[in-house]
Amino acid sequence: MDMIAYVLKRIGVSIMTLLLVAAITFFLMNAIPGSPFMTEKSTPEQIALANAKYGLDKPLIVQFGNYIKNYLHGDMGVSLKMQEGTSVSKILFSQGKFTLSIKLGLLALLVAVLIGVPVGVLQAYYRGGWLDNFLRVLTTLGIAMPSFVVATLMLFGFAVSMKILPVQSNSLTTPAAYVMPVITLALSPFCRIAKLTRTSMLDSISQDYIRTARAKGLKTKIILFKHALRNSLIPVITYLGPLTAGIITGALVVEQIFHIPGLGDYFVSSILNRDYPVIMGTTMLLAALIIFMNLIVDIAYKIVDPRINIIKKGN
Amino acid sequence: MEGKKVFQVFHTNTDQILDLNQFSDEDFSSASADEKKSMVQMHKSVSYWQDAWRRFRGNPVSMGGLIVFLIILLFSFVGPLFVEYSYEDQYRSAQKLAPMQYSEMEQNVMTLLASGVDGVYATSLKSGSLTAIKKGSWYITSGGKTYAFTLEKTVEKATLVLDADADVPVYIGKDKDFENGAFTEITPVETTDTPAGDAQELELSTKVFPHVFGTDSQGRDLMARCMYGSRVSIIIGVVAALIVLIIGALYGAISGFAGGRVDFVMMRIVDLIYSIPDVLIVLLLQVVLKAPLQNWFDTSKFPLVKALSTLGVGIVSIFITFALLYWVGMARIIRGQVLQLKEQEYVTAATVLGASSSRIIRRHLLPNCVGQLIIQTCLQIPSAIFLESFLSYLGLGVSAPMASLGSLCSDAKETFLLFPYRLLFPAVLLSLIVLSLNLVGDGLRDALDPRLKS
Repeated sequence: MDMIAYVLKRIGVSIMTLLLVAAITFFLMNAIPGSPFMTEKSTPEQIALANAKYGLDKPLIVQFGNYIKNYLHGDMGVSLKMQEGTSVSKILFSQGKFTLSIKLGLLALLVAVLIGVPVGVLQAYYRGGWLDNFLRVLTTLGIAMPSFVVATLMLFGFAVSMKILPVQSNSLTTPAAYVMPVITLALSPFCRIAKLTRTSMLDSISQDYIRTARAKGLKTKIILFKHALRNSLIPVITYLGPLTAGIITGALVVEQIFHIPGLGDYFVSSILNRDYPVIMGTTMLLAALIIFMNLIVDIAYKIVDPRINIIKKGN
Repeated sequence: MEGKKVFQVFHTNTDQILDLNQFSDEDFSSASADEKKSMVQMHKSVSYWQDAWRRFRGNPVSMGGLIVFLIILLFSFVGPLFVEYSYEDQYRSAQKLAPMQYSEMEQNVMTLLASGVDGVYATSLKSGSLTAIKKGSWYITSGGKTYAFTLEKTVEKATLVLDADADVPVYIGKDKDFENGAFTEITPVETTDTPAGDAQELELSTKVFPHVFGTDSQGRDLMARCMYGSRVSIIIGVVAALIVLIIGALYGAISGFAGGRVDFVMMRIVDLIYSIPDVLIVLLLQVVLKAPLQNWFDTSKFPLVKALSTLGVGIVSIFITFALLYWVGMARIIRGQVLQLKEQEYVTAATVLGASSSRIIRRHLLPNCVGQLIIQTCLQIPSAIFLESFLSYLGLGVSAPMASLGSLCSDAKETFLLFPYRLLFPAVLLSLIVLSLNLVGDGLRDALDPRLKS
């Protein structure tokens, strides 16, 4: 019963947050001075006409209300500039942008988790050894390198010098095109996950139940993977929320560098082009992804670790 | 072990025991200062900071980070004193040079200097208003002598040479006439010992400074730009971290100290801001703030605003972004600390003595969080530098002629395949700064808050 109440509460908060993001984005966007229809040639009359056509002449509150109302009906408006007249939902979903970004993001997420956790376990297992030290330096470096640096270095190394990978990934048609964008996106989360796993593994290893398991005469491998790992994965699960946000942020840069026509790339240019409905649509979609991931993580957290009493207020 | 021995001695040789009772006079002399000292069991009291520093010093990785960071600080803040080039000047003859390469003109000047001349003034190696020697009276001082001369017309694209041993000590050669290590045509300049009343001094160069990192397409020295860029990046990081520190610490302390309903509401606000996907909003903020800030800077007459306007719109909007969105992590941590601390006896004592809430927060609670405050601030700096470089890379942060490490990387990305080193230098610097600060932050955490040590 507690669980259902908690889930409902979390869903409520998530919807509130999304609404807040919508409001912030909407009012910020409209605070950009000038009009999206302003070009060198346009006259004030033309701008006024265009404003009236898209309903931009109404008070902001009314515009926002209309937007939310239409959004709930699945209508995200039409693009004002970048693809004039095309509906935003079509731009986001039917032109392959969303699929492209999701494919890339999920792959990076998988790589980060599937390699990060074993590496962290390995480090904890060989704690203090040369492998642990080497990997620790590597993961610390990985966190300190901005993704655009990683991307350009790889471009130079693999694509230009060695010519084994394509310079532009474009629509990710070949498997080789995936390699560099995915590595770039996954590197920093991978390092963080490895560090996190190492720390929490070491933490669990010093617990009493591990000593008990040892006293029972279990094999080290079984203790490590069956007893210690399960509990050390909890911090990793909580990290999945920020991780999603990080991957989306990374995608903004990575898609630009590798010329991938995905959502991240489109989002940046929509802001620079001041195409209001596209900005709104993209922000809402990306924000919804992040918020949804946080929701899932919070619920999974509760299921995985019953010790955590989420109903209790405060810390 | 010892006891066992005595026991055996006691039994086997009782005479030795009796010997123990025979004392000499020396045994009764007073102890010397050294002997007294060896008996003192008390240790010198170690303050919190000394203890922390001792722990920090014992951590080689963090010490390494600190040393690297100090070197970068020296490079970026003291280094410009030793580099002759400025970050914004475009040197006409020195475009697109590779690291340690000299432009053709610089090579000419080097040949001249190697041939034994005492000094040169090469107009094409100067920037801005210095690209010519204007007509009028000038004088040069070299080796205790003064050479004064008057130019009938302004000299451009030429090199003025001082060679004290030659028949004609001062002469001007056109840059295009330089062949095989000498000017084919030179114009001698008549000199006197006493400069005219309105004569200006002309500073000659006696050596050519290398472009250690090369130059960019506009002929700007990359090392000077990197020094300047890392200065800007570090300052942005520190200021942003301080903003976060002030807002976050105050908010967290007030929330934790007030408790109850106030705490609940304040923390829900924090939760809400925390759950907003920050980067999406940050990008928008950067665009939104640009015009109003520019307008504010242009019209306002307050000295503070004037000072801010020299920073440029991009940097100030980064600060505003931090003030709006990034203080929540700090607020949460400080609130947690304050919740524990406010139950301590000294807080009760202060309350009983009639101290106001603000005094308790300022004098008792925040000073006791100082470890956490320092750790969090130190870790905030690299993340601010990171965000700034990210924004600048997308073309939204610092704008030209100003430079930050991010914008230098961004400038280099177009020509990356041709000139990879232009990206390499700022990128390596950026990574080193972030890495070293992270290591220092980790070390500080272990040193200042040993309970958290993992």
